[in-house]
Amino acid sequence: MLVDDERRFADSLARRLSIRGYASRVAYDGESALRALDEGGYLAMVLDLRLPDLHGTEVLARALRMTPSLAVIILTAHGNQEDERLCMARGAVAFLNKPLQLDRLLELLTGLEASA
Amino acid sequence: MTNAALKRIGFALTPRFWRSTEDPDKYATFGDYRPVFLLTIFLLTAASLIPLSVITVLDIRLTRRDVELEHRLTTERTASNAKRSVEYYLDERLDALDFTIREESYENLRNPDKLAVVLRNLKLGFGGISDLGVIDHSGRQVAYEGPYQLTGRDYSGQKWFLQTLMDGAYVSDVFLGYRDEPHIIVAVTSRTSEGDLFVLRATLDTERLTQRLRSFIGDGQEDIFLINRSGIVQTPSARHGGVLEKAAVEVPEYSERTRSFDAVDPTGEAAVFGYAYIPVKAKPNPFVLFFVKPKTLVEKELARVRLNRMLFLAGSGLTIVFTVVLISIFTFNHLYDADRSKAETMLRMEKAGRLASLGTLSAGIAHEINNPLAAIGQEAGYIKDLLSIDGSRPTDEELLEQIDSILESVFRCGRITRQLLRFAHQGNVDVQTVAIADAVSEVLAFFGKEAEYRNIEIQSSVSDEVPEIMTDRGRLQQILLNLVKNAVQAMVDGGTLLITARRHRREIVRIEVSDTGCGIPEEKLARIFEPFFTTKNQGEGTGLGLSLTYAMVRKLGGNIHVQSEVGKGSRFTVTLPIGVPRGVHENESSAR
Repeated sequence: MLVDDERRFADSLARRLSIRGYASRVAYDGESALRALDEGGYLAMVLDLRLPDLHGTEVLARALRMTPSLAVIILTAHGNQEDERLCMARGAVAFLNKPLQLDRLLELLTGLEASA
Repeated sequence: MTNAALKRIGFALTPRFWRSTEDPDKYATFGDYRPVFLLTIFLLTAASLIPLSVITVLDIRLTRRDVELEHRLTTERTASNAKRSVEYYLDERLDALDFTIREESYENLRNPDKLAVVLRNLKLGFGGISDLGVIDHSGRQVAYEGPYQLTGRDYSGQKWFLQTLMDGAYVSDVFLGYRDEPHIIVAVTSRTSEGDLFVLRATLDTERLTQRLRSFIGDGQEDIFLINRSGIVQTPSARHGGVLEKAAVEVPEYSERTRSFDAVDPTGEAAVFGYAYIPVKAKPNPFVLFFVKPKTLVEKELARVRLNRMLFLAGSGLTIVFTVVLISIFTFNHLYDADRSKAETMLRMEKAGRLASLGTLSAGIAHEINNPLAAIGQEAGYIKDLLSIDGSRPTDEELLEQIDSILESVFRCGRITRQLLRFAHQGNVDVQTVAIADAVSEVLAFFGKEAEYRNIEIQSSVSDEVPEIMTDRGRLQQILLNLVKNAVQAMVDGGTLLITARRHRREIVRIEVSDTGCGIPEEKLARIFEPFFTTKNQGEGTGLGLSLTYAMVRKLGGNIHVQSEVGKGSRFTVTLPIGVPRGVHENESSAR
């Protein structure tokens, strides 16, 4: 699950992940992401912090309540240490900064697959 | 005194602002210190000197009055004493005659032999009497004893004779008479056994009187003499006319008491004229005594006093001016130094403020850039994926190279924006006990390989007296890391990197990172901590490393300075507080 209001970014990332064998679904805001999550079957969620409707940290909290096993990877353009500390404390598995180095994300996903 | 010593004194007596060539900045108390400095000196000097001068002038005037009064009193006293002396002299002789005429009978006095005895006795007893004559009521001199042959002379028509008969006693003015020698006549009357009036007359020479008067003269300057009521000089005077000449002074107004007035004597000298009417028993008392005391002595005394006071005024004036100048210099030096340090502080704060706002602005821009940047990165990556992984399209090496170049640029931008964000969001300070030696060796270990490879010798010396400090370990490492990285990069052809730490004052630790690298030109030193300012080549640095370092050092309550010389190397000095940095609460960090 890719949650980001930057549509072109989310779309490109989804395509690149599918080329590498990861099926993904894109959500452009927090509410639709949480609705999609309800359908189940997600290994991980790549979550932006600044969304048009909800803040990323709230999406994080609600997503984990719905699916405690979900691995949430924060990916933000506004990353600072405060946010990082807060998100990690709320159960995110990683905190990445934009622009994204795809290799880092792939590494994380590989690790998650292995532990799942 | 040597020239160099004079120069040194001149230097010490020049206020610091006077030598300053800097333009006054907006934080100076006065735009131009010079007029204020000069005005201060002028006002202080005037405020002290004017009263002093006034007092001096008043004092001189008062002294003049005192001295003049004293002079006048002395003059009057002397005149008074002389008056009494003359009075006594004349009265004494009148009394002697009176006594004689009562003691001896007319018959005895007519007898020339007896008269000779009487004259001898009078001369022995009193002196100053040169002859004696007995005149009967008709005016004929019936007996005479003395140096002249005057027996049988007729005085019947003479004024003095008539006056004597009328008053019973007489003292004449000084006159020449038949003898051609100045003398005074004194006469008394009595009655014969038949009841007729007769007169006993004596001649007094004036020499004795003159000597008596001279005894009152203290020095050659003074003059003492008698005049009669017509203003004719009676006894010799030094400057006011010869005997029987018209006196050079007016006959003063009658007064029973001794008096004085100011006038100019015939030689043109200002003088005090003391005078007294001499009240002899016979009427009319014919003499006025003059005692003239010139003011030369007064003027001399006054000149001495004036010189004295003026010297005192000059002395105290110089002292005051000197003190005022010294105090003004001292005050203005302090003011000037205070202004300068204030200006430095304010400028530093302005700079810090500018840095902070630059940081905030840059961070804001970074936020907005990161999203499109991420999109570009992913889109370029996707194109690359399509070309290299998909396999459905022919591989175009040139295109792949271009895409890699785009990706590289994207990540470089990413690095810049990340640093900018860190610059703006510094977060809390995580205070803990940190041993500087450990922090230094950890950072150095990080660079060990690169240093060896680039032929750089690393030395570190952390003094034993450096205590553990309360600070944020991560930030301290970051600071050292940045400084060491810069130092290593500055030394292209090898060199020496030196880190020292020692205790500077009680509560401050001073860490220095110096290199023997290329150095920083002076014009760039001032801007070295500004964001995006870099001395490195285009594309090599972000221009944020040192501004971040600066921000972190400030966050830790410290300060950072740089000294550098092109070709010789640079030295960065970081000072950090030993205790918990101000504005940071220990529990705030330990609670997390």
